[in-house]
Amino acid sequence: MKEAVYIETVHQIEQKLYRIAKRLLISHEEAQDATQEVLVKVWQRSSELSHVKSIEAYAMTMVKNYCYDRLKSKQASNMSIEYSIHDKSHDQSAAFEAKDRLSFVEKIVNNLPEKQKLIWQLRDVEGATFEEIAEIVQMEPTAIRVNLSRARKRIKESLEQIDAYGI
Amino acid sequence: MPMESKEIKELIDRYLAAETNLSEEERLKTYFRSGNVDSSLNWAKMLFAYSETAREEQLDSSSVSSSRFDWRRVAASVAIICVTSFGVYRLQENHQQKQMQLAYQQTKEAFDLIATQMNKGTTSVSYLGYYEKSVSSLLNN
Repeated sequence: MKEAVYIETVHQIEQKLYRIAKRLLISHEEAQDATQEVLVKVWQRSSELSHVKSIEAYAMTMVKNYCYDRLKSKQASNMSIEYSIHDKSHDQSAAFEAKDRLSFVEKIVNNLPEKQKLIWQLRDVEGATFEEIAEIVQMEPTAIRVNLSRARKRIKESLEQIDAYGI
Repeated sequence: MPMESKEIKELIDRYLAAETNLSEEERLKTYFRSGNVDSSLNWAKMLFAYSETAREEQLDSSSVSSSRFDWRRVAASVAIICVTSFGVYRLQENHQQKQMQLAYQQTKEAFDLIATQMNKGTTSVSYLGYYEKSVSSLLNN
């Protein structure tokens, strides 16, 4: 039974890692690579990390750092210009590309600045507490609240505009 | 339900300011999941619907096979191990039998060789009989 619990825990962490990586890197393949890489590193250090909670927090921090590194090297080679533009007209054009309402929300979220995007994902998707988020993103709780508030307001504004267009 | 919608609007304001706690956010999710909402809150319905589907997003099993625990895979590997080990066992048995036959053949050949040499030996020894006969006849005379 103990093994089954362990496998289930690892599986859940893996899914979480994937969702965060996918949010930051957008591409499924890259998110997959990130997840695998981080899991291997976590596995190598698993003896030092006794508590499941600390394993999870460690894995989240690792995946965040991995993704930021990837994004940095991409930006250096001018590959991710598309995702570094954060103007509203971009959200509007995305509305026409979106297949349905939900994938449109996804596009808005993916167009958020990196920090806001990560914090929004951790809070509104993964349901993390502010303490957990603080540990992962290494920011003060007040700064986290500011970023989260901005992200939520930004999504609201974009969605209201689209609602006015009637999609 | 003016009371409820007033409460929800207040919660939404606090949500936008990032002042709600997790249970309040859960309350919002449940509220927007069920029933019609005020059209001014359409955005929130979409947003909460999305955040819930985003939580369901899974790394598909076919692309990352090593991580998923699949009984069919385990059964397949066990079957393969059984079949190959049985095959190896049979092969070894066969091999052993052949070796035994070879050993038997070699021993038989060795015995044959000894036998022919022995026969040669006895024929040459049989000449000694003549020698003894002639010696005894000489001595008796």
